[in-house]
Amino acid sequence: MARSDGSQMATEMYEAWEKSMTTWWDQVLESPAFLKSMGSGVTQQVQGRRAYEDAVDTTLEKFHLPTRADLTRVARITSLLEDRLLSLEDRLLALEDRLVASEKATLQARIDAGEARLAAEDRLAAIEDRLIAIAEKLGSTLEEPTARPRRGRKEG
Amino acid sequence: MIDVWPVTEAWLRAVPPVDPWDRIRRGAFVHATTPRPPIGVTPHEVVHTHDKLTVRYYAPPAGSARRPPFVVVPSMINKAAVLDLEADRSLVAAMARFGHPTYLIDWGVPAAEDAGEDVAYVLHDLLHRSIERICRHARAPKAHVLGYCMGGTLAVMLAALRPERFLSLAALAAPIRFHAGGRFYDFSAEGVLDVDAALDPSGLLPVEAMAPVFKMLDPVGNITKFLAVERAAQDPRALARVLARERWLEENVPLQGAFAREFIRYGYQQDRLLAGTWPVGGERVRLERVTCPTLVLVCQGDRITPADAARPLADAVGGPAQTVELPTGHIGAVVGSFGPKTFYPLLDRWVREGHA
Repeated sequence: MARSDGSQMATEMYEAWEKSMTTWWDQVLESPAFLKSMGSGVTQQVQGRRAYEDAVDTTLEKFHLPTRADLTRVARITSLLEDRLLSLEDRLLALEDRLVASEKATLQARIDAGEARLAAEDRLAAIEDRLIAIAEKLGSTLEEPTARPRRGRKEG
Repeated sequence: MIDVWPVTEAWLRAVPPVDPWDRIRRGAFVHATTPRPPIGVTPHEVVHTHDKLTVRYYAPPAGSARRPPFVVVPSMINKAAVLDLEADRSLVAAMARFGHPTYLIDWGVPAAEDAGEDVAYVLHDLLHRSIERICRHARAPKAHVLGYCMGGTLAVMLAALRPERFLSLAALAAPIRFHAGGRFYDFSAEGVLDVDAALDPSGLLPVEAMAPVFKMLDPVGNITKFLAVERAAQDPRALARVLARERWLEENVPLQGAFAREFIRYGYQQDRLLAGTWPVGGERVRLERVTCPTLVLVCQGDRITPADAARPLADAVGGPAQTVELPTGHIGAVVGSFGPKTFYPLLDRWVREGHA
């Protein structure tokens, strides 16, 4: 029982602590002075690191070893080369797209031409059929006078 | 390395905690001594690389109907793997399972040679080119794009500058009205943060400069979180889940100096995005040029991108927009139980139907 009471009291104390700390932090974080000190803290930390890295670079230079700046320069050149390669790749891909599109257009044009030729052949065949029909009709017309009484002017 | 976990586990089981402080001490000990679980383990294929950037492709199940690509743009200050944190709480794995060819932009970790990369380079050379390559890989003319946090802001800006590849845009917890950015704005405001002075000797905005800001978003939470660790320590699976989330919070990535300078100055300090005066490569970002269907996802309990910072996008874009308010915090939508239950299906519906 005593343990349970103790435990409950501890939990209540903890909850009160959490609540009061949250309220306190909310006030602190709204304070312009705190925010400014946070900003300058970040700056100071970076300045310390900059001083350290400058010292390392100076030492490396004295030993005729490549510094961070030298390595960065080489890496930057590599990045720029990659950029240029990718730009070239972009242009090649665009050309490929145009080539594919023109191949498609050429193929379509050939299909259209083939279909047009077939249509023309069909039309020609139809004209030929009609001509044959006309010729047959003409032939039969020429043969007809033997069957029919001849009209026209008398000979002699 | 000595594995202290068996001894820790035996101790946790044998001796019950006395009070919340004892539980916090135990949680802190577990937190400090337990190895972090692996993240980003969903099988994928790398389909494009550019310097430190890689594009990961998560294929839909075999036999799925052909769909436009779904592109996820994460923040540049976190590792991309946070969107693939655990097998059952992975946004990218879920979207692929729903049948969408899913692509994750992994920005990588910039180094000194990348310090000069600015917002224009990030948008045009890195992001736009990635989306172009993704469309080519998926053999689709356009893509659905989801941007998360800073990735959301970048996706919105690209949709305004180069809208031709955007089939739809979803912005999750994306800061748009930066002056409503809560504590994050307070810490980065003009007169508080001197970005140039905060850059390290390599020209990067280092993790050490960002970590205190994240810690200060919830100062008491930095201590009380150990209660959750202690609670989870009884179950290895629950502990792995809690520690996977910790990787999200612990593993920040430095920012390219030129990018950080521009993003903080024009964004957090001058709030130029909504005003339409943010210059990128000689062009102004005008949000009314975003004409594709837009989904604005607002996390109501978000401390990093407060709801008021994310909401204004819906009224600023030029195309149809819809706002969905999610009852979660900044990371809850993606990795909490809310993700697989509600958020992933909501996204699936959005990209299938164009509305949530």
